[in-house]
This record gives sequence, structure tokens and C-alpha cells, in this order.
Amino acid sequence: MKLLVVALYPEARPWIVRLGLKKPSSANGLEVYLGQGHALLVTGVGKVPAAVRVARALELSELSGVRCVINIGICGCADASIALGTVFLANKIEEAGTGRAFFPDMLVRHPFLESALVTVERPVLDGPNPLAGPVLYDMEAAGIFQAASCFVTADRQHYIKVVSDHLDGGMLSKERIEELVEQAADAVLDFVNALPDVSLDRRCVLLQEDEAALDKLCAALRLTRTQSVQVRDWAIAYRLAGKQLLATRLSAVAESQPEGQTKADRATALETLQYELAT
Amino acid sequence: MNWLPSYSHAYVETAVRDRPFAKEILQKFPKARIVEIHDYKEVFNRRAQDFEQQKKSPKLLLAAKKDQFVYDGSRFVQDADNPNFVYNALSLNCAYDCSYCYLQGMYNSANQVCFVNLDDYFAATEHAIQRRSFQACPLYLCISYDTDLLAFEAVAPYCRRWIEFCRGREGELEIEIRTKSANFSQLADLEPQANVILAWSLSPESVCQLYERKTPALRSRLKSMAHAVRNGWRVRMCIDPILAIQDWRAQYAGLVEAVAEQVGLSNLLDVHLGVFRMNTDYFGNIRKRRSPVDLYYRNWKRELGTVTHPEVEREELTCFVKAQLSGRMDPGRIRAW
Repeated sequence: MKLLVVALYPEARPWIVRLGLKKPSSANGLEVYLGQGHALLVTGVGKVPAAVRVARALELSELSGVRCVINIGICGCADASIALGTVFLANKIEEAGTGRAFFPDMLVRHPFLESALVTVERPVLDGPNPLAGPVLYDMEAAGIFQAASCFVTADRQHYIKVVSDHLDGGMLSKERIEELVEQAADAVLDFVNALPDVSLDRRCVLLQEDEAALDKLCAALRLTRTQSVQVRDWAIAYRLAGKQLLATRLSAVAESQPEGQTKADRATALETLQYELAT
Repeated sequence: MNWLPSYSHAYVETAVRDRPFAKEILQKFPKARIVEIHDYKEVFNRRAQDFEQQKKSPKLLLAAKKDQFVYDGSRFVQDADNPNFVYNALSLNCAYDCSYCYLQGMYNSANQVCFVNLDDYFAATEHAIQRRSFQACPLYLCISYDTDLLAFEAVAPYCRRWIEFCRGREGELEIEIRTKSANFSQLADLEPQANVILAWSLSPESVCQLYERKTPALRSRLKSMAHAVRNGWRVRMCIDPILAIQDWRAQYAGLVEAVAEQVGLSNLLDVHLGVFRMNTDYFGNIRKRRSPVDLYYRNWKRELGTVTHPEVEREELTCFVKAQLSGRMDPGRIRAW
């Protein structure tokens, strides 16, 4: 599941509509919307509310399948030559308050421009600065990054910003914000949909039936924690070698244990199993 | 998935951006996007990184090393019987992706760090030469240690610089450049240097294919090695780790045969043999970080903080390869870990 994170409802609306997201009956007071393969969180403005709400959202059971966090929102841009509505992917997030910097991994191709993004405490109204380059300003990304990093790795975080102003202090209407996001939505959605939704647990080479047979075997042979880990390793090696009938083999050993088995019986069974799985 | 090409981005410490070696490296990546950073550790050592995903599109980090320009030898590495064994870290991580490599357990990041303040390394090495414990022996310095420098030579010509540094220091400094690359051509225009050892790590082709992702094929490595021998360089062969793969005896006998045919065993300075061994913590990290590979689930023995073969197996593997070599070269030139 991919979690879209926005600060304002007008930034959320295009996604709610396009992805058919629905507000669940209970979301622990959070403004969360759920759909097939996507979820959306509205955090409110500022890095602290954003961090708190992202962390709380990612602890919800409904969002336990989130593998990817994508922050989408508007930003100010210091370079007046950059047209309003231009979409950027941030390759560096600077936290103005602390001077710290955070780096989402840039691993996948994308159609956007790239730039550093500075997360500020209050709106920057300095006006355009032609020497600054396309430096972007927002108020949430650094908070989102720090909170999301407790749950997903840096390659699974993406910060997409749509230029809404050139730091000239003009107020943006809800309609204008929605319009800016809507204009970028097709390209952003193509990018989001192409992102890998990889499982975090790469060790799941064992099938469900293998796991069940392993549990049965561990109980039948009264294996210690260390022995259980060892048998599991043998089972994984067996699967990685492309061999079949693992569950059958494990179950056969579990079921062949005599009544009133001794420690020696169990040790022999374990040794035999190791040999059988290795050959 | 549509991955960005390797080194699509270069994270450059602001303080090194104008250093000549940094500029020379960046010239090789004219399309790379430059991201300025304060310290490479804010990218390389950050938490929440996925080594496996990063390896699909590694990035370049250019930095200045601030301290520890020379390290004392590790217990996991053969020291070529030299009491003054030291190593350095000119670059962190490797362009290759070998399943048995400890780097993937040692670092959180798969990105490639290149330290560009070579003058500081040279000064520290000069100092280490002066204060080496055994003055009768040269300082023996491995420069391709937590990396494969020759594999990266076309990008960052470290080997060339160090070979130049070695000139005129015979008797006081000897360096080893270990590699799996087929990049000798990068050095082919240089005069061979008596205090430089070019050491190739070789494996049977089946091991190259199974466990040494992104490395050149065995035949390319042998060709490169033979080229170095022809040009008069001192060439070492390392078969390390010898792995108990299926049909391993035939595979390793075939490897020795191929080296004998294409390089000539008598042309080698010496041979280093070793078996799989790894720090237990690194081994645990690899199992958590990487997609499962059968190597990680073998019946390894854990002893004294090391994961390795049970002793009998260890002996069997090294003795077999040693036996393949013994009749064909001076046994005194074969060293086994």
C-alpha cells in the first residue's frame, strides 16, 4: 500500500476523487482516506503536526501494509523563471530550524525536475531571488521524513512539490491549490503507480505449509529456540536449492517420533533431518 | 522497475567540490545531478536505508576523509607474512555485488564513497613508513581493501596515483591492489613497479555467475591478469573464498587448470587461498538486509565472533586446492588462511 501525505484538504481532493478513497469510520481522529492499494493522510500545516500525524497514521492497523510514503503538495520557489505549476521531486530536504538535511533515495526514473527543498517554520515571503536557483520551500517535508523513517526506508519516500508561488506573499485560494495539484495529477499518479510495492520481509521463501510443518516439527522434537532457528535455516536452504516437498519431509519427521521419546531420539531425528535436507 | 542508472546522482561535500580529484571524477559523470552535502556521513550513515534497493542504482559520494588514513591489519585478512601490514580506506563499498562480501553487512548503505583528499593519505602513509615496527621490512599497505579500486579506476584513478606514489620507495613501501576486475588496461601504459602487487581474486565461472553479481567473467579476469604478467607486473592469485559449491572439486581443479593455461602458474608471485569467514554481526546484518541466498543458510560454524566452515570442511577445501597447485608451483609460494 502507498500512503499519500498532504498538508491541506485542497491538496487531497484530486486524489480522493481519482483514487476513489473513502474515509473509514474510525481513524483515531486522523484525517485518513483509504482505497485499493492507496491511502491518504491530511496532516495540517507545519512540520510538527505533519510528523506527529504521519507517525500516528503509520501505527494504524489499517495502514500496516504501507510500503511507501509520498508527500505531495504545493511549495514556494525562489526562482521566478520556474513556471507556476512546475512539478519537482526533492532530492534533499533541509530543515531550516536545525540546519539538518535529509535525503530521500533517488533510485527510480521520474519525469519531474529535481531540487533541494527547504522546510521552514513560517511562510517565506522574501520575493524571488534569481541567484538562489530553483530552491523550494515548504512547511512539512522535514517532519514527514523524520517520522516516516521510523517505518519505511529512504528509498520508499518521495517528496513531490508543485510550485504555487514565487515567495511573493500572495494568498492562494482553495480552488487555486486544487487546480495546481489537479494539473500535476496525471504525471504524479503515473509515477506513484510505477513505484515498487515491495515487501519489507525478503526472507519469506518458505510457503505457508512449510511454516506450519516447521511449527509442528519444533513442537514434536521439543526444539530449543536455537535449534528451531537452525532447522529453519536448513529449510530455507532447501527451498533456495529449488527442492520440493519440504512440508512433507518435515511432517514425516514430526509424525515418526515414538511415544516417550528420549533426548537421544530427538538428537538422532535432528541429525537425520539435517542430512536429508542437505542431500 | 525503471531504475535510474548507477551514479545518476553525486553527493558532494561542499568542502571538496573544487578539489582537482573531485573534479576529475565528476567529469566522468557529466549527466550526474550534483547534490551538495555537508558531510558524507549524513547520506552514507543515515538510518532507514535499504542496501538491496540502493544496490540497483548506487550513488556516488565525494568526500574528504578526516582521520584514520592508515589502519592496522584485520584478523580476517592474509598479511602476506609481512609484519608491517596495514590498510587504508580510499573508497567505501564496491561496484560489484558479491553474495559473500562482508561490506553489505558492514555498511548501511550501498552507495560508493570516494575520498578525494589523496594528499592527506600520502602524508599519513609517509608517516607510517617512518614509524613502522619492523624497519627491515617495508610497510605493506593494502589499498583496495573495503572496495575494489581497479574496478573503479576508469572513474577514480586511485591505482595510478598510488603506483606513482610508490616509485622510489622500494624497500620502504609495498602495496597490494586486490581486484576482481578485468581493468588492467587502465594501468597498461605504466612501467611495472617492483613494490606493487596486483592481486586478482578468482573463482570458478559457476561461482562468478552464482555469487559474484556485476563482476567480469573468469575468462576476462584471466585475460587481464595475463596482460599484467606480460607487462612485467608482480601478480598474485587469490582464491578466496573457496566455496563448497556443487561439484566443487572439479570446479576448482578447472579453475587452476585455466590459470595454468592462460596465465601460467610459474608467472605468479604467489597464491593466497582462503575459505568463507565473516564477522558474526556482519553476517547477521546480511541475512536481514539481502534477499536470501543459500550461502547465508548453510551449516556454518560460529566461533570467536566469526562465521566460517567447520574445521574439517575448511581443511578439505584448502588442502584440495593447494594439492592442485602444489605439483605445479613452489609450495612455498602458496599461502592458506
